[in-house]
Amino acid sequence: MGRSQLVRNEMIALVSLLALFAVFSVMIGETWFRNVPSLLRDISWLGIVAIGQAVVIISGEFDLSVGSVYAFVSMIFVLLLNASVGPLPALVLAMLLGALIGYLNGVLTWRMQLPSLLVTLGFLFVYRGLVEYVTDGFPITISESIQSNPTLVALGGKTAGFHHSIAIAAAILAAFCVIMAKTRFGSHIYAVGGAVDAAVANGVPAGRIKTRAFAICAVLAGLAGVITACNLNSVSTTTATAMEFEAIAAAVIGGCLLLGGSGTAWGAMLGVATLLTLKHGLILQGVNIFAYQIVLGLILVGLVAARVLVPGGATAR
Amino acid sequence: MTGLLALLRGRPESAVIIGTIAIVLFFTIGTDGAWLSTLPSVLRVTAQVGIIAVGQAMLMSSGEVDLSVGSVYAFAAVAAVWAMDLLGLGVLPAAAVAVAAACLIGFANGVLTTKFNVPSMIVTLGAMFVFRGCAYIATKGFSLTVPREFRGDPVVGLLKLKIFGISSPFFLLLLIAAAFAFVLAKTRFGSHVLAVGGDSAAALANGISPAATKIKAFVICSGLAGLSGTIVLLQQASVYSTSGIRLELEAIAAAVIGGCTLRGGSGSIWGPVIGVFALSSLKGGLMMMGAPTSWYVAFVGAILIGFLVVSKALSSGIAEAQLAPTPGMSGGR
Repeated sequence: MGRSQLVRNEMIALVSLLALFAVFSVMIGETWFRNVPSLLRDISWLGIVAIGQAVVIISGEFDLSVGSVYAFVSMIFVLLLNASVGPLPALVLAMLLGALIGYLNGVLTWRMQLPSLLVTLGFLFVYRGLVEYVTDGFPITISESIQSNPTLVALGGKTAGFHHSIAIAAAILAAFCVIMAKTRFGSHIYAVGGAVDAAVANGVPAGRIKTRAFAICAVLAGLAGVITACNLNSVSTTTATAMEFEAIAAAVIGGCLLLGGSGTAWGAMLGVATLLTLKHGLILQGVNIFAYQIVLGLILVGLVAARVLVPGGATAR
Repeated sequence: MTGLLALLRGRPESAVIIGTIAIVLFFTIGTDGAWLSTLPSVLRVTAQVGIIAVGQAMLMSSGEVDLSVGSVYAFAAVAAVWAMDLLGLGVLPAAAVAVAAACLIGFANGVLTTKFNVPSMIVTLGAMFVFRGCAYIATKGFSLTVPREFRGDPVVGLLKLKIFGISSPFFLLLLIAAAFAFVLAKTRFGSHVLAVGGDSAAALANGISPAATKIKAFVICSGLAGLSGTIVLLQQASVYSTSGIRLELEAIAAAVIGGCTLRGGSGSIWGPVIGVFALSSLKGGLMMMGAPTSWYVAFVGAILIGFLVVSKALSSGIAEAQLAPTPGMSGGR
């Protein structure tokens, strides 16, 4: 598939994002612009997760467990904080936990040759069950003495009205644009996702590459969870349920092919921006929040189906 | 020991049967026999999820998957209430309308998957959002109830009837499972489903239309999900905005435990039904032993993964497996 096609998939997301933004600016007016900081905050949270999901999808696999990992890692982070482990060690431990979770996904998927869809579906249950068990249905709050710690503020606070998570997400996005486009690891991800047999025949260590992709995805999901916990100062039972679906939808809207081998990190971020602009716009207009779900579903299917209908665009899978 | 291994290798259902016996024994002994008294309620839950799992198993045998069954389950119940409320239909015609609506959703899923080349995971993910949203809006976030004058209907009475202490939908499940086991094993359509799921291109070369076969499987899957939703609506007299959430995951987990693969080509109907029974037993048993319900959620995941690992280890050596890399979302393509 040519580069022009790749660009076009992402252009669809960009154009719809700009169109949506313009429409809502006109229809809602000043309130819409006042809402932009919180829109950006939400984009940064889901965007970090979607970048990781995009890496896994490009490598030809799926991670359905990101929502549960997001909640689980942030819960462990909060528990560590309240057990008076310092914020920095707690952050490091939480990220290590994320890496371990992703590693396990990778090992089961590649070593055991199990479909990642089912493996991560299993872990979706496992981590969510653990979160439900520990939180017992109630939110766990970060104790007040730690809430103003500089590390937590750096992750979850805001400066001049803009949340720090926006800068973090931008940095991660920039890093992954470079990694995916310019490094050997990035090329290997596209190779194992596009044609795994050919990649293996050419000496690409497919198992290691996919395992790393899973680790990246779980670490980013965990990081987004930690950032959210720092911002809200708590984690609850239902944190990030159904997030896996939103992250996958965003990656697909942003041009990732579900069969792997194609897609970009910035496309995934565009997909997230499009989805959340739509969500915030509908909410501000007083449209029922559940109408967003309907629109989300229609856009997702419609967009992928439309790519088949566009001449020369039969790349939906 | 080798005999046991051969047995495990022989049929896709063997593993789930052994696992189920283990679960039943564990809870019966663990609760000094008290668990057995919960059997009727376990079977009632088995009927609800089992009917959906039968459809999911048919669809997975054809190499596709449906994530929207939980939403279709809720939406069909909403449609049934609407048919009674707005159209003034009787209970049976309303149920027929609900199941027909569900079948229509399945048809749309199938057409989008096969004719527009959109992966079934994405199509049904979209459908999951759309119909959950519809259910939320229709119930205004709360619930819809069956109009009072229909609650004494003989059909409702039949569904609430207990035969030997077991609620009647369980017998309906047995009937449906038997019918689809027959369809899958003995009919031309069943062979087509397995052929299309196993190797779509080869099936096409032999004159079987993968699209037509898969669309039928989608219709069966959604239709059964709608049927289950309607039955539960008539039993409980109301449908909630959250009815059927996570049901798709439970049905898929049960189908996999029962011997279906996402690669299609081989399938079982009884296996998934037993899988649902095993999961429901686990749920009831854990609750009886005083474990919080969250354990059940974690256990379903652990069992799913454990089952995949064990069955893989049994069915083929690791070395053999490494020669055949599988993409994450295989679907027989």
